[in-house]
Amino acid sequence: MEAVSALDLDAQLMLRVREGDNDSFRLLLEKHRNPLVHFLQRMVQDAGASEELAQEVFLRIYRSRASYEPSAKFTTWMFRIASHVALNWLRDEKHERAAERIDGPGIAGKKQAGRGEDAPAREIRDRHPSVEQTLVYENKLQEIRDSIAVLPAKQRAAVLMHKYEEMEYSQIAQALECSESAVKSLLFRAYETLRMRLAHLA
Amino acid sequence: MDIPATEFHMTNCPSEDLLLDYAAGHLDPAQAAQFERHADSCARCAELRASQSAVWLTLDEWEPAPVSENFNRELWRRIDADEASRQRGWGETLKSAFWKRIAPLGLAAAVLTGVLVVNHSDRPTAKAPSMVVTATDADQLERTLDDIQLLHEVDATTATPEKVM
Repeated sequence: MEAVSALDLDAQLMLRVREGDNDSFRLLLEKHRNPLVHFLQRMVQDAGASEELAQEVFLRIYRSRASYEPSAKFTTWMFRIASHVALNWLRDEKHERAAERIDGPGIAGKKQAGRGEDAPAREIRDRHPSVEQTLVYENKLQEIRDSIAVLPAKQRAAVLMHKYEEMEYSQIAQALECSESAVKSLLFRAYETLRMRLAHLA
Repeated sequence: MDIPATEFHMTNCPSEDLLLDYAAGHLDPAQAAQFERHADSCARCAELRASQSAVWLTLDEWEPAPVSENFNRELWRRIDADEASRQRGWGETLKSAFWKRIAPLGLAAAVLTGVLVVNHSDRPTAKAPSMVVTATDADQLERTLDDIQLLHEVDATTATPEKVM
């Protein structure tokens, strides 16, 4: 466990939540909602399910407020719960089959439906993308999603925490409840797969 | 590009986590420069550096969907429902704990009462025959007295002829 001697702000807020201060919980929610939902979106690749799972994570955090002890960084604790929830979801055979279905062409449509009229993201950056540009971007995005989806669940979680959450090896190890060397091994294998599948896209 | 990890280390190249840290921009400038100098003279590391950096840039393009506007509202609804169900759960647990404790006590009390009632009802039953016996004794005593008197009369009757004779 990392030392949390100089309590990070999140841990301080959580201690106040433990005392019954719901406003502190609202602050934590505002701060971590987007990173958490985005991690789960990439993890389970189902916009609707990812929000439900993120709510489940916050619900568990709120539920365990009375027994909260800041023994680890708040985000590490939060991502440990999130990984647990996501790995369980992926382990479920029914969801696994659903994920395989939507990993196909359907997933783009589903994610776009989640975005509403703002989607896709490239359209925001390039004000007037051509149809061809949009198609190229969508294909590229699909290859990225597929490449992440083929990774074993734990490798996937490790890569997403390393790449998008910029977590250190020790934090990822705590979140996935394994050793740092195991995390490095997960990352090496995952990035090896991704290099084979994605390097040509850059 | 597929270099086995063992081969990678056999060539005295930097460890693979250094490559990951380099691509992630986590190395300090001196370490990054050292790695670059090595990669410039090593074909394998140059290829790994290029492909890992490419993967890193490609993954940057995967932008997540925005979070629903009603996310917080829905979360608070779930929290409220959860709190309410937990309170109900506690009430039910307490109730069931109460009944779990009370039920054996009640059963024990019922059994004890039953035993007492049976014992109590046994005693009058034992006395009742004695009362009956008492009534019977009075009749019997009367009959016995009658019998004794009859015997005396018989004795007297049988003794008288002998005296006569």
